[in-house]
Amino acid sequence: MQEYLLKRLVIAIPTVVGITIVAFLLMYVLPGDPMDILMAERLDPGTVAMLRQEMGLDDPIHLQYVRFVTNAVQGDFGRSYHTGRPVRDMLARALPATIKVSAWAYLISIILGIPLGTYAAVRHNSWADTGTMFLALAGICAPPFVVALFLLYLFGFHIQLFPLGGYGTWMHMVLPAITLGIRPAALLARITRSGMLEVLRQDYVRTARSKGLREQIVIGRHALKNTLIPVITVMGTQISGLLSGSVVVEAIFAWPGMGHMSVEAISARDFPVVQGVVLVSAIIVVVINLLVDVSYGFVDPRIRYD
Amino acid sequence: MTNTQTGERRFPALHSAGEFLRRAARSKPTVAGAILVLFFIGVALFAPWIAPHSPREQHRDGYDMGLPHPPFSNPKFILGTDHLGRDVLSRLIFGTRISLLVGFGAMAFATVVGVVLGLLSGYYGRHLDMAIMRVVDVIMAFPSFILIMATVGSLRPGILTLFFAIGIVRWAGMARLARSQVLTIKELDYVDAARAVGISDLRIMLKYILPNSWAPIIVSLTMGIAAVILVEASLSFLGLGVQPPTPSWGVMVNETRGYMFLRPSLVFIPSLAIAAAVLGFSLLGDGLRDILDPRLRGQG
Repeated sequence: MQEYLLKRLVIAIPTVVGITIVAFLLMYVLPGDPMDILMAERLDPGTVAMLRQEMGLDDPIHLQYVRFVTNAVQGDFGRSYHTGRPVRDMLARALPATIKVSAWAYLISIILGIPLGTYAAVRHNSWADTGTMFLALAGICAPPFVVALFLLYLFGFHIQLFPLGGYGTWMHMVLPAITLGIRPAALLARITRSGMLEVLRQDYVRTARSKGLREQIVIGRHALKNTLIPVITVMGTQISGLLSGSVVVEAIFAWPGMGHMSVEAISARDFPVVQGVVLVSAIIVVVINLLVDVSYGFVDPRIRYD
Repeated sequence: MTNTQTGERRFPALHSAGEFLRRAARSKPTVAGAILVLFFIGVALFAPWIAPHSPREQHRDGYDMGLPHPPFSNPKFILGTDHLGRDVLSRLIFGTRISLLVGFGAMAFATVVGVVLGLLSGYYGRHLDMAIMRVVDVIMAFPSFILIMATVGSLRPGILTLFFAIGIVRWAGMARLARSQVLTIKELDYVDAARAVGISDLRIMLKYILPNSWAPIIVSLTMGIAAVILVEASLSFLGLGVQPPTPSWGVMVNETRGYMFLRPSLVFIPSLAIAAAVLGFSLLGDGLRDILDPRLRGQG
């Protein structure tokens, strides 16, 4: 187990290095030169030259990269072009908000997705099955911003139950969390259903039934456990999806998280902030995938790490 | 082409186009998906002839007591007008072009790059494989929308930027898929035989391996188009994709958001179009997968 963990960590290293390269390139190659953006403030050439030197923009690119990584490792992602605040502080404030709404969305997706998928599988080929799967398909095809606007229209305007946006009480959380949770819930329902259908055909399920166990116990205790492996895999990949989805959702509900921050930063061409978000979100995904891989062994003791 | 001791092929060959169509016609969702996709392609191709007005013209009579016309109230503007007095139906029709163009363009880019690199990676293995797959790992580590958005933000907004930004993120999945296909196929006897008689590597890849790996790639391409349509709409909605006054569905929702409580149809008509297009390509992709790989039928 320890050996596996170590090996898995070693494999993650080139990925993390690659992530830093991509984040670096985003800022230093694609937009041309950060100075072009700052020039909008019309500085005189002397000041520009001084600033360039101060920021190290005239150094060879590999030196700039090394400096970028050295700073990033120490938690220094530079300063926002616009507010002048350290990107680290901005991230530290935005990240908890994103984690909060994502966690609730995740919870909603599990509470909805797994039971619905199980229900559809148990009623295979019935109207209940078709209906549930149609709902799941709709949940996957509807753009998140459309879901958000629809919920706003319904609950923010017609039935004035929840606030239209903002942050603070749990009431503010309801609509964003539901919007963000619908897509993963739909995916989970589909995966749970297909996994469950597979398991229900197995011999041991027939044995469990024929020895007279109640259907609830057969499904809940015998079958569900064995459908969990693909479900957990999908749940792992959903973290990346949640972070992607949170961008639009946060922007619509004025939720002060990382997604909202990145949309504003991109519109304002505030690249250090964009870079910070890109870097941090990718690292989060890598770490969580690592945890998911390791968790397989706890869920299914048959899986050996070698 | 039968398989010998190397085991089952992932996607059994279909023997004729007729068989393919027969299997497709038996599945209602596939037929529905195909009809939707063909419908949108038709609308996109014939947009200038179908659309009753120009998508950009601001009509003098586009208002009713100072407000945009609601849908089905004025025969001149069947789906009503927007906040600038433009015909919603015409904008919707021309918006189809943008969605499909970005969907097909970005996925074409991703597929070409992904398949070429996947082929090379799977065929030659060793260091090349290692190098390409590590790059794939890196791309896949990013939450895709955030990376696409950051790339778009670094470049000039426009259609080509969207092709590039989306393609550069989506090729990775294609490469992984193509590679896995190549790994299975290159072990088969007929590939060994081809190599034994001295056929060049390039020819083996293009003539012997590629034609037998297209099935899952087509499925993934179809599903990918659905995903890209969603991404384009979301980007345009955030103001980072297609720029006004170009009529894109995402732009339409973004522009009329402020009128949502006054004229919800302005927001929900283009929203429905996006969902329908995504649904069409998803159903078609699901259906193709079932047809091309019967073992997966009825799953997921």
